[in-house]
Amino acid sequence: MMSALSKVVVLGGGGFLGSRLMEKSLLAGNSDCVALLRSARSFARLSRLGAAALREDTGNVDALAVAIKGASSLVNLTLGESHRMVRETEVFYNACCLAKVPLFIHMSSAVVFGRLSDPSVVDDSLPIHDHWMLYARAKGECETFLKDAIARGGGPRVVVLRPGLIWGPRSPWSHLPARSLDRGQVWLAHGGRGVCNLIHVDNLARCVEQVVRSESKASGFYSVSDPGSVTWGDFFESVAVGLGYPRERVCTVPPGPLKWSRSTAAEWLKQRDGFYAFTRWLIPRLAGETKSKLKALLPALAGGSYSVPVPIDAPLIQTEPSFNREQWSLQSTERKLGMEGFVKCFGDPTLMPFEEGLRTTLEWMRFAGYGKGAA
Amino acid sequence: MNVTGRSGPLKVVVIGCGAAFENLYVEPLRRLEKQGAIQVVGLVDSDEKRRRWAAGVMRGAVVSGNLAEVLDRARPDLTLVISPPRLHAEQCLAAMERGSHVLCEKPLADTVSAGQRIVEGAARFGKLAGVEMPRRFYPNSAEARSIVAEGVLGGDLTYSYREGSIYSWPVVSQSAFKREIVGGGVLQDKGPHVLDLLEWTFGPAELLGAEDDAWHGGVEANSVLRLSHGGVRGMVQLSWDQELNNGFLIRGSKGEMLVPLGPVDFYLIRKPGEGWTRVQTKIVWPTRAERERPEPQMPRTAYAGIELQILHAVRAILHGEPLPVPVEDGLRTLSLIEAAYRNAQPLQQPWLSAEEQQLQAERHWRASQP
Repeated sequence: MMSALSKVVVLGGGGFLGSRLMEKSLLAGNSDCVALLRSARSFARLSRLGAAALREDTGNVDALAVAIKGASSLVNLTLGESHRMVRETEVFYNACCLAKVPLFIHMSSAVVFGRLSDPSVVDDSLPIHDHWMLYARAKGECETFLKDAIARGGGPRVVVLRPGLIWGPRSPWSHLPARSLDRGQVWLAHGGRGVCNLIHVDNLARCVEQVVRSESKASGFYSVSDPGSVTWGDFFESVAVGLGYPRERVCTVPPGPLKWSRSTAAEWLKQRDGFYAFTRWLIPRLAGETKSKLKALLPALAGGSYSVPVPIDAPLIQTEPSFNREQWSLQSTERKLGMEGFVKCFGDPTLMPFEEGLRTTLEWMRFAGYGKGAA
Repeated sequence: MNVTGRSGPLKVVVIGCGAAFENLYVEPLRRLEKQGAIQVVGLVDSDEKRRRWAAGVMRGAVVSGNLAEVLDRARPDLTLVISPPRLHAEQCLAAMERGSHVLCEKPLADTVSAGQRIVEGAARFGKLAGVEMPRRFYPNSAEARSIVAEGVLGGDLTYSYREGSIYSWPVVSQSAFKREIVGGGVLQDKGPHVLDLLEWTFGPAELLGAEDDAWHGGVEANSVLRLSHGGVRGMVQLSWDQELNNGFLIRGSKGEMLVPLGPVDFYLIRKPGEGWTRVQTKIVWPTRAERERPEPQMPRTAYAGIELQILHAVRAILHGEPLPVPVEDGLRTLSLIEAAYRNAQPLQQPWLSAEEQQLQAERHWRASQP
């Protein structure tokens, strides 16, 4: 392992957001930003940059403290499995204490507040403790731990950022609308009028940079999102028009309760606390080939196997609306929290508007092979 | 009694007991042992921990870090070379010199000159030498080749081949991403499979252009090639760091065909202005070593391709059937990859700002090289 005297250490620097943060940082000439990875394969996303990365067992406070010693901030972008998230956040925070790293930036998620139907929710509100989604519950528990840590004092400054859906080039949240439109009809819940709480990956990277650069001494919880407000209907229709898919592919159903289906059943199973314990026990016992067969079989059992594309010049095939609970829940979001708290504390990061984010995303979608005229 | 001059299963030695052996080969080898086609008699790996593990998996085999010792003691009919590419040439030659046929993992070698040595060695020692390209056994790939050959799609053929996903191979160190050790990035990793399939489908390829996104000191996570196969032109896009609209799309004057990546037992075909029709493949391959009892079946998963290729190497040794992918084919794809690296230009990424695109171009790994 290389010696760590770096200024900013990015935990999970090999992920989607982390690798873009690293790329932007290196392009800006900042060589004092270093990625810290948990597995060697995470290096694949950074491999093109030619930059070294630290690799450390992030479950071990002492080892991690040695790795981050001398850093001015630790940015936690890890997207661990839900059952490990709280324990890992504790380790990261405690390692900052031990190594005397003065700033711990933790990436939470707007999902901790669910559909935001409660108008009294603000940045400092407590997350929904009994959220139906395992990931949201785990993110909420991490926030609770960090809130207590801030209250106790004596440790690093803690800045928790709560982005919505991170979109932009390479994002799964950009791949989703492009792929869905390529496959034909797209159904949106809530009349397509739900708030699509997006933040472009470059905007989020700017927010992180702003916190790192800021002279603020504050700890706290901050919602971050793109300027303005777009609905799910706006988002999908903009992508459809931009890529040359007929606008009629975007269809909506009126607000109403979620219907039970095979995909909601599979999702319900995955949200059980014991699910990951079971898969953790099972997976090492399976041969690679068996794992591959299961991987192919499970989506079909969950109600979705290989979906056949519908060419732009071919007649549209009518389908029945179908949602899983995550889609239904996200598409029924009633509002989003603004960035006033963030701006007040760290200054205005001057984020790109939706239109510019859309332009970059459409360019990437065409590169990835979607839309009219894709090679 | 078989053509090797003795009865019983063919003796097989495996060189390299790492992740590829564990995840891709162990199950097929066990099944082939069970049907009596082969017996794994030797395992070679430089890492003691891997040797201990492999000895537990393939009981009864001679296990050592010394290749010559295993080859001399086990005297294999067939040697599977599954080690890192920079070791392939020496190991293939050592095995052939001692009388063994070889089947080598892709890429054939780390350089064209090393690959050339394997090709020459096979001729010098009079041994069969093949390279693992299991995708030729995917039924939908084989159907695509037939459809192209029969002219079903008409003339003026073009194609796009996209394969992108987040890298998930269980490597143990960052050295798997060092150019000096593995020779390159995603093109070196996925390229041999894809380029072999394209040359098999359309004939030998000529490189028209290559772009990648590697900076100085890095290896590419994205690669785009433009190729010509006589009258057929196409584009290949590979990625380690993002999902793409994956698939092998062939367009002609009379229609289009789409071979999905992942599923192997169907393809899609359509006429202009119509939707896709899903067609179940019908291609079958012998699944047993005996000439009299081939028991042809259609493989349903990608894993079956590896087993079938080993089995067909066994059939080539036993019955004089042609090897599915001779090393000459592996050498051709290696030459194409080497040409792509030699001519690599910065990847066009129009979603970046003009300033970022300029900086990316300045940092491109070929920028300072002749």
